[in-house]
Amino acid sequence: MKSFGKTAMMVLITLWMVSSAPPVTAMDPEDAPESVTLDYLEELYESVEFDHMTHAEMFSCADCHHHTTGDSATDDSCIRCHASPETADDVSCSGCHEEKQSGKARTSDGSNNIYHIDKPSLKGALHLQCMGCHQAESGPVECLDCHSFTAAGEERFKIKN
Amino acid sequence: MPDKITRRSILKGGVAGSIASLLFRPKSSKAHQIKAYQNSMGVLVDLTRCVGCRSCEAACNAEQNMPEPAKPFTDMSVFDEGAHGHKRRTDETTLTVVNKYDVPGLDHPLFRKIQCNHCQEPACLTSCFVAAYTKTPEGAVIYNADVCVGCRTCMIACPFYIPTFKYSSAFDPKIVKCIFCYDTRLKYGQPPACVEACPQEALTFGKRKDLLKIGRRRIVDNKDKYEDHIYGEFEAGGTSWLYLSSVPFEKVGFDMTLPHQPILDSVKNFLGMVPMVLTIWPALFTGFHLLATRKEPHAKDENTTKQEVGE
Amino acid sequence: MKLFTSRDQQLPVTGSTKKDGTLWSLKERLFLGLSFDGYKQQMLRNPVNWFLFAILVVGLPLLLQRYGFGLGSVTHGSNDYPWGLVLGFGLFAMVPLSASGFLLGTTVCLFGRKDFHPIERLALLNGLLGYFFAVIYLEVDLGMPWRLPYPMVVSFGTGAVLFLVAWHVATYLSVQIAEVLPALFEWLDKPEWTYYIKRVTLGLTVAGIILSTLHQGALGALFTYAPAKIHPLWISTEFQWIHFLCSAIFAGLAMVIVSSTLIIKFLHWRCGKAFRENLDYMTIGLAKGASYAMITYLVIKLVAIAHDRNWEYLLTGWGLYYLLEIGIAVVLPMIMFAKGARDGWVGLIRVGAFITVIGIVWNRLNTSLVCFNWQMYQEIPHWKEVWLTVTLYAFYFITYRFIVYRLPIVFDWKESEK
Ligand code: SF4
Ligand code: SF4
Ligand code: SF4
Repeated sequence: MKSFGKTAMMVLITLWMVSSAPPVTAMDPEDAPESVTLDYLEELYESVEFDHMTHAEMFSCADCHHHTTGDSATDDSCIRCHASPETADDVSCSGCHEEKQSGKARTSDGSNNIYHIDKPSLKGALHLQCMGCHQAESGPVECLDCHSFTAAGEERFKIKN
Repeated sequence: MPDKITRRSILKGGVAGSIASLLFRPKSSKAHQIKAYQNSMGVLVDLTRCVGCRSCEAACNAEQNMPEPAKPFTDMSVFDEGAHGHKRRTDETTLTVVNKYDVPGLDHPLFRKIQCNHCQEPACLTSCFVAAYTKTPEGAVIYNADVCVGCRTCMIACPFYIPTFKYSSAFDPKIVKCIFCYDTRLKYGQPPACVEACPQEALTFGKRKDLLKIGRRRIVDNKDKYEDHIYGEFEAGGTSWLYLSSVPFEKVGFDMTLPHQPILDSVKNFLGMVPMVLTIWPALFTGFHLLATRKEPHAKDENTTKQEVGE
Repeated sequence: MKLFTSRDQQLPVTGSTKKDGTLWSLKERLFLGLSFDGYKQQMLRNPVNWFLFAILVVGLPLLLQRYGFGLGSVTHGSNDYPWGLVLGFGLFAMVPLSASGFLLGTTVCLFGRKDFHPIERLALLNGLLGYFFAVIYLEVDLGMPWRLPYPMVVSFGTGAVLFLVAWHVATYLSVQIAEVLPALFEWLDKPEWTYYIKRVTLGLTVAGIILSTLHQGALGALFTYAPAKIHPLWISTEFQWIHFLCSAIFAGLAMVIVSSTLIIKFLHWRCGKAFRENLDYMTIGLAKGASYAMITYLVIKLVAIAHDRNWEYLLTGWGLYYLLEIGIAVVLPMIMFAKGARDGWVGLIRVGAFITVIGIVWNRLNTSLVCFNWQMYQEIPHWKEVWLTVTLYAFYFITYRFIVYRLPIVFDWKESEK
């Protein structure tokens, strides 16, 4: 008897939780920012104004945001865990991708999470994401298509005026 | 078979037995052991990511105070500049270069950055007769210009054609080669300048053993994207810089004929016989002398003229 | 000089005293017993000197250029071919051609073959000068020539093959100096100084054998640092050092034949009785030794191909070139030596020796230049580098001749007084 009561209790609690939780749908692209200023790492280049809205209209959130916006992941490996994802607290790129490569032991992030062992730094993540798509979709791919040099950048690349 | 021959064992087995056991040691004890540093750092170069932007070249140039290049680093015409029908290589003005490869059947070119691979058992180091090279525990192979005599054997020995010589200088020539940014960065645990500059994270910095895991993971997770091989895992005894490619490695300029043993192994045949000559020859030839001069030799007997031919 | 020796009964200088019993002064000895004018005259009359002069006129400025403006100003400064002609010839070919010293030292002193005594000093001198000039070539090619002694005193890369080469060549050079010094002492009228050297001759000879075995082999082993760069037919990681050692044996012997041939032909006035009368006999002996070494060499070359399973390369263009080298540089002179030795045909042997010497140079250049980076491109040395190499060889020639002219190398001091 005792165990029946316990089980019933748990079923009830579970039902309540499910019904009151927000629906597992993706975030709405309409709510996304118009434009994002990418100025995390400006040194050699001026900051870049990223036209988020245009991209959001053309592609699904998960194409860039993996599973964090609530869409199911597109990558086979990610789907293993993130088939029915939840919206993450922070969906921005910098929310997960660290600014710089640390070179620290990357086979685990310290939290027994042995899956995200190969997470690129922010710069890598942005470029891999943009360039991968731009190459496939014939978007602009030259550095200076998106960036303009700062004085330091011109010095670094030995641009002679 | 006892590994150590103690006096006891000599007494027990008799001298002959001990000599036999010395002669017939198990062969495995001779097998090559690479004394690699366990926590050596390295860089994983993923050719599928590199876009040939030359940011790494620019960063290296700044970090290592190299001379100003003839063309700015934004000029992509340098990809066609190699001499003798070959791709560009490192020289006294540059420690690293990116080369472009048009691979048949691929709709876009591939790019490959070259620099010192910081071998686990570096041929440059083992061939240097003034010990100008050092392999640091962090994995870098660095060079000391103060003792170098400029014989350039390291350039002969490096299987990757990396060290270059400052031929242009009469009074202060030296070997010029990537040092993994040891002095300025690696020593402090920071990634080298070229790695930090790479927008595509085609260069991933980390412990070599972790990079191997990452590399393998990439291969497993993207079955049809990568060749099932990490270049540098074994080549020339293993290198700290490792490479992934989407096409067979020889198509992007890698030497796939390199032995998997360190270059030093092929020299060991000779080095191994040096002590024998040093110990056996004196007795042998003095013996010959005594034999040959015991009685007055017959002047016309020429057969003994060149006995050492057969030695 | 022939002219002068026929004119003046006292010439050439073969002992300490003139006909009238007075001593030759040092200056007279240096000037070959001639007056200053006479000496100048004999120099100018010799067409070889004009030829040497022509080489040096261009070569000396090049040498200055090398030291003033760096190696890159006289060579291609190639990073793909770090060792160019200067080393390929000057070190890798000069050293085997100078194996003569230890070979004849062994024959005469160790095996008691006194019948080769008249040519022993020439062989020792040939060895000494070859090594000395190998070091000179090295001094031109080293990036920092002023650091030559570093491997001996400053920093030791003990595990490196070149370390062994450096130490052994240096030690062997001193051994050879000790072996040639008696000739100098006799010429200086200080024969008593040779006493100590004579006492350790056997030790010196054995040391010579050890050092020669090791560094001749080591020069070969140097190339095993580049197992993937050299064409497999020219590199055998297992056997390279034996190949180099073995070929050095016939190279050294052939070089003595060549040098003695030149001396008996052009410096006949200088040759002593023993040298003149025994040269044919000794040449035949040397040729015999050389042909044994050559057949051994051929066998181990074959063994190397079999061991490395390189048969299929023989059918390629490179294989053809390889067979050409073996055929012309080894098999042909070997047959000439054997036939010449059997029939007592000294002329044939001498031609064979010339071919052998050139063949060895060819082999060493093949290993260090032609077949190096065989999958890349062929480096053709800068003309300045070629000229520089020739210039240094001219110095070698001049020094060689200078000594043979004066010291009792191919004659016995005080020969006529005996
Ligand atoms: S790549 Fe060449 S230069 Fe670099 S450590 Fe290896 S052998 Fe030395
Ligand atoms: S590691 Fe440092 S020295 Fe080597 S190529 Fe990169 S930036 Fe240049
Ligand atoms: S910086 Fe990175 S992407 Fe750019 S050329 Fe170098 S390795 Fe390739």
